[in-house]
Order: sequence, then C-alpha cells, then structure tokens
Amino acid sequence: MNEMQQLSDPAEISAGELSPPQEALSEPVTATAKQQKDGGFWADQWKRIKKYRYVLWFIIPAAFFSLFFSYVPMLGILFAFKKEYSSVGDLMWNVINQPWTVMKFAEIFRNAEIGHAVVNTLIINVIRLGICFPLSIVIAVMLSELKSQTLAKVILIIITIPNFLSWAIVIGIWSGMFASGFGLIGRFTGNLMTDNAWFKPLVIFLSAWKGAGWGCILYYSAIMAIDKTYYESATLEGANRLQKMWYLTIPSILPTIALTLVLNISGMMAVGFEQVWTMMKGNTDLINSQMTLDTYIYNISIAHGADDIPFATAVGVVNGAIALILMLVGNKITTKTLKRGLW
Amino acid sequence: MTKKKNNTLSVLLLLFRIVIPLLAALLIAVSIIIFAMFGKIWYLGVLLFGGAALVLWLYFPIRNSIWVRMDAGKAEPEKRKGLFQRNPNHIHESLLDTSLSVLNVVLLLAGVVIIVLPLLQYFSLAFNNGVFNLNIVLVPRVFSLEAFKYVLLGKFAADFWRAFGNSVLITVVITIGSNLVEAMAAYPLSKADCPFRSGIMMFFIITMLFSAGIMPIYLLMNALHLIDSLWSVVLISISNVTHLLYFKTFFEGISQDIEEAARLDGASEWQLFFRIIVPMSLPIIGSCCFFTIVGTWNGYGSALLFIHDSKSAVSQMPLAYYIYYFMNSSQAESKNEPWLQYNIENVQAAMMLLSIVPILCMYPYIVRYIKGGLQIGSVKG
Repeated sequence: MNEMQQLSDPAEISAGELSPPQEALSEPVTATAKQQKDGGFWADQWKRIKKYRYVLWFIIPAAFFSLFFSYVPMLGILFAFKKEYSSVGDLMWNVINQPWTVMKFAEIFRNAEIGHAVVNTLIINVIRLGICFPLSIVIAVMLSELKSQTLAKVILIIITIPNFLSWAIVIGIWSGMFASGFGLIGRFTGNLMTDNAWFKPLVIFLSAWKGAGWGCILYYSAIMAIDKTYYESATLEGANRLQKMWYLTIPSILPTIALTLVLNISGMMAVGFEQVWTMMKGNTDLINSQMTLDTYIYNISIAHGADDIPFATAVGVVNGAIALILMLVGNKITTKTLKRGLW
Repeated sequence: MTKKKNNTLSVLLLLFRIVIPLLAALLIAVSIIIFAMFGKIWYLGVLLFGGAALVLWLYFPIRNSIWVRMDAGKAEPEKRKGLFQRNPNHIHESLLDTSLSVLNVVLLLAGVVIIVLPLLQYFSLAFNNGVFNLNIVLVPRVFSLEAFKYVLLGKFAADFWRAFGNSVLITVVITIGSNLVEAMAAYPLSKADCPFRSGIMMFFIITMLFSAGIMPIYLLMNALHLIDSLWSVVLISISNVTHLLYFKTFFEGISQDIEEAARLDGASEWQLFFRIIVPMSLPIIGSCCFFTIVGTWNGYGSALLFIHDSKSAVSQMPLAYYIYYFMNSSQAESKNEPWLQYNIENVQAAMMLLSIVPILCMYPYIVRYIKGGLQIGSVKG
C-alpha cells in the first residue's frame, strides 16, 4: 500500500488511530502505516475494548455453552485419579472423600479387552481408508468423464440418498437384505449380519454404501472447477483419456485430496459409534471381535451402568488425548505442506 | 476430418442400435399382453415392464456416450437438442475412448443399482402384506397399507407420534439455537481488531480438539438430573464450533463499508447484525441450518449417551432413537399379537419410511446444494 492509497481511503481516516493488533494472527492483516501516539499495549487494548464494548457481548451465549458443556466436563478428569466412585454420595462428596491414585491408568495397559478394541478400531479404519477414500475419488472422476453432465448430476443425487438416512434405517435395510428367508442376498449366503467373521467387512461396506456418495461431491466440484483449456492442450499434446485422467485430473485436485486424507487420518481412532453399536445390538453377544474403542468405552461407561467409574474415565481421557495428538499432528502436516491449517 | 470407418465396430454399433430398442419394445408388448389376458400373474407383467424401462434407461446413456459431443472450433457451445446427439464434426474417436465411455457408464449405473436396489426392496415391505414377505422382488407382492395404518393408529402409535413430535421439537430448537448462537459469536471474531481475538478462538478450538470423554459428561448430566430427558440432547448439541468457523470465514468476506454506512446511519450493533449482516449471509446460514437439521433428525448418538433404551424412557426418545429401540425390542413386544408377529418387518419398514418424509421435503434444497457445489467458507470447490 502506498501513501496515496492510505490517505484517500475513507475507512482508514474515519477509523481513527487504531493500529493493527500486536499479537500474531493466523491470517495476514493489511498494516496501516498511520501510527498512533505510543501509548503502550494496554492503552491500545483498552481503546479496542471500548470500540467493541457492545459487540463482545455477542460471544457470551456460545462461550457459556462451550464453557459449561465442554470445559466443565474436563474437571471430571479428576475422577480418573480416584480409586473408586461410590454412588452413596454425590459428586462433591466423592471428590473430597475418596482416596487419590494413579493406578487406574496402569490398569489400562493390563486390560486385554482394550487391546482387542484398539486393534479392531485400527483395522477397520485403515481398511476403510484404503477402500472408501479412493472410492469417492474414483466415482467423482468417473462422473466427470461422462459425456452427459445432466446424467452425472442425476447419478450424483441418487448416490447421495443413503447419506440422508439414519444409521438405524440403513442397518434395517441391510438386515432385510441379508435375512435368511426373505433377503435378496440372504437367501443365497445365509444371514451374514449375525456372523461374527463378517462383521468387519460389513462395517466397511455399509460405511462405503452410506458415505461414498456424499464424499464424492467435494471432489466432483473440485474437478468441475478445473480449467477446460488444460484438457484441450493435453489433447493437442497427444494424451489419451486415461493419461488425461491420471496426469491432469488427479493432480489438479491433489490439495483437496490431501486435506481430506489428513482429516481422515486425524480421526483414525474413531469409528462411527452409532453404526457399530447398532450393528452390534442386533447380535446380542458383544464379543471381542466386534468391539471398537468407542463402543468399548460406551459399554463400560453407560451401557449397563458403570461398574468402575474411575477406570471408564481414565480410558476416555486416554482416548481423548490420543485424538488430540493426532489432530495436532494432522494440523501441523497440513500447515507445512498445504500452507493452510485444519481450522 | 477423414471418415475412417472401422467396419467391425460400426456393424456392432448398428446391431446395438437396432437390437436393444427391439428388445425393449418386445418386453413392453409382452407385459401389456400379460396385463390384458393373465390377471393372476400381474406382477410378472410389472416386472417385464420394469425390465423394459431398465433396458431403455441403460441404453440411452450408453448410446449418447458413444458419439463425441465436442464442439471443436466454435466460440460458444451449442445447446443440446435432446437425447439423439450425433457426431457433428465427425471426429474420429479411438476404440479406447469408446470402450472407456461404455465401461464408465456401465460401472456408474451398476453403482446406482447397488444404491437403489436395497432401498426399493426394503421399502416395498412397507406396502406389503406380511404373509407374502418371502416373495417380494422389488415391488410389493400384495399391495396393502396395513402396516402404515398400524404405525399411525395401532398399539405403538402413541409412542411413534410422541417420538415424531420429540424429533421435530429438538430439530427446531437445536437448529435455531445452535446456528443463532454460533453466528452471533462469529460476528465479533470476524473483525480483525477484535480484542482478545486469538484467545477466544483458542478457547473455542480447544473444545474441538480435546473432549474429556463420555463419562464426565454423563456425570454432569446426572448431576443436573437430565438423564432420560430430551434436554440433555438439546444442550449438548448447541455448541458447534465447526459452524462457528464457517460463519467466521464468511463474515470476514463481508466488506466493512456496509457496516460503516450502517453505523453512520445510526444503527446499533444489534440492528446491524440482525438487519444487515444476517440477511447478507443467508447462503452460509442456510447451509449450516441444513446440516444441523439433517444431523439432528437422523442422529441418535447423543440420545444413546443420555437416554436409556428401555421402555420407561420411550416418551423422551427422538424418532431415530425410537426406530433403533423398536427394531431391537419388537421381537419381544410382538409375542402376544399374531398379526404383529407376521408383519413385524412391514411395520418397521413403514415406520422408517415415515421418518424419511421430512428429509424428502428437504430434497429440493439438497438438489440445489449439489448443483451449486460447496459454498462453505474457503473450501470453494
């Protein structure tokens, strides 16, 4: 910005002598060159607080809900450090009167079921990433290669229908398909939904059935935004369709792919809880080959009443900490490679 | 522009263009004959007619994809004239291109069939009479509305209507509450020189990153005596930092001149926000409301945390949760009623179909959303 621009900018003149905020922001702020009298950091802040004294009240409702329902439960982490939680007294009684211990965290490592749950979670998530993630991209590329784009839009709308169904409905539909007498698939193969060996493949399949269509909207929009002149010059260079797909379409949407990939990897510890729990519920024995970490925590916390509240809290805290670390690592990766953060 | 004729290919394509419409016409003729003369096997006629429709539906896209629709050398693309496009510039397409196009269309249509077939099969149960459940192939065997009558008027109807009303209530409350609260909070945070801005943003972002687990939240709700009550679901869903970030990014894109002009005219901050900024942000508010509505109507994760799936808590269940509960408990409940024992799957299917109706009402918005591409924040794709 040169001086001519500064002096003739009415916003700058009428905004008074506010200098830009001195703490680092995540996006660049165009600096005004009009310096004020150096009153120090706090005089500066006080000026801004006075300017925003009415608007800052707007934040109060959201801050209240965040504070009360996200930060106050963090105080509940105290219970992970207690030996036991008796239902005789209320919360405060238990905080004051129960002995402190750190051994609950050690108990996590001795517990075999958690090991099974974590292994199941990782297996399901890795295979799901390997299947559903490329599937969305492949569907988007195929849709963009259609000659008739009206047909592409119609197919896109049909493919996203399962995304708007609740998991109870989706699992009901596929239970019907796999039912022994009546189901279209079930009458040939038997009821696979109650078969423990088929649990993980079915989780992944239903996840793809429901989610692939919605995921491909993002990539389809990104592909539609690619400049068509690139394709014409590629034709002039002698590329056939496969080469155009591989060397032109996919590299152009690589930022979107990378961002979504990092988001998926940051969420690696969480398989959809509703989906897995509803699939397990139809089958009454909750055995080790079906437990994922979320459902295990739910099972020991709430499902049939908590036997060991400090242990359940400890497992939840460790889960949250691992998810936090994964998110921070993911954010660092995207900031370094794509120059934008996850938030 | 030389017309290189590949003889085998063109003969095959000619056969394709003649044989398949003939086949479809034959199927339609046979189905009409069956309807007219053999009333008992009417469903065979429906199947043949559906088969003809399927063949034609598959045929035209493949046919259109075989000829190129490129307007090479023209300044503006000419308007499509309907289904029967030919090759206007006689551009030679290689065998690879043609076969890729055909494969493309076939695979995509196979994908659509995989999506649509289970939906058709299962929801035809809702229109079926339970005795004939075993013979359904995509259409109901014996058309009857008994299942719907039972859901709306039968033994569990009070629970169903209560659950429906609960869902409507919490959807309205959560959508309006959550988006209003987050939009209001995003407005000052979108100004570059808002005091304590990075501190407040950190405050909200930490809630997105780290969650203390479900046990402390359950203990909190227990202390508030909100277990087995809908209010727990409402209160936990109002804080949604993802929408806060979307709103914040959008508000940053609004030019400051409008606000300056409004302030010169003497608007207070409240009026400025609700009369000027909010009407300008209707796209993003609409998108976020849409996500919230669909998520709240279909989601029962929070309900699973706070509402026990037992008979005593049925009056507080939202609809998606009630369907989940009904699917798991209906075998036990139907022991005393023989009709229900035959028709339990039909009743379940009817209930699910009824719960989709509000989402179907939102479908024009969904279509517009898909056609317009994503309009959220900076991920304009």
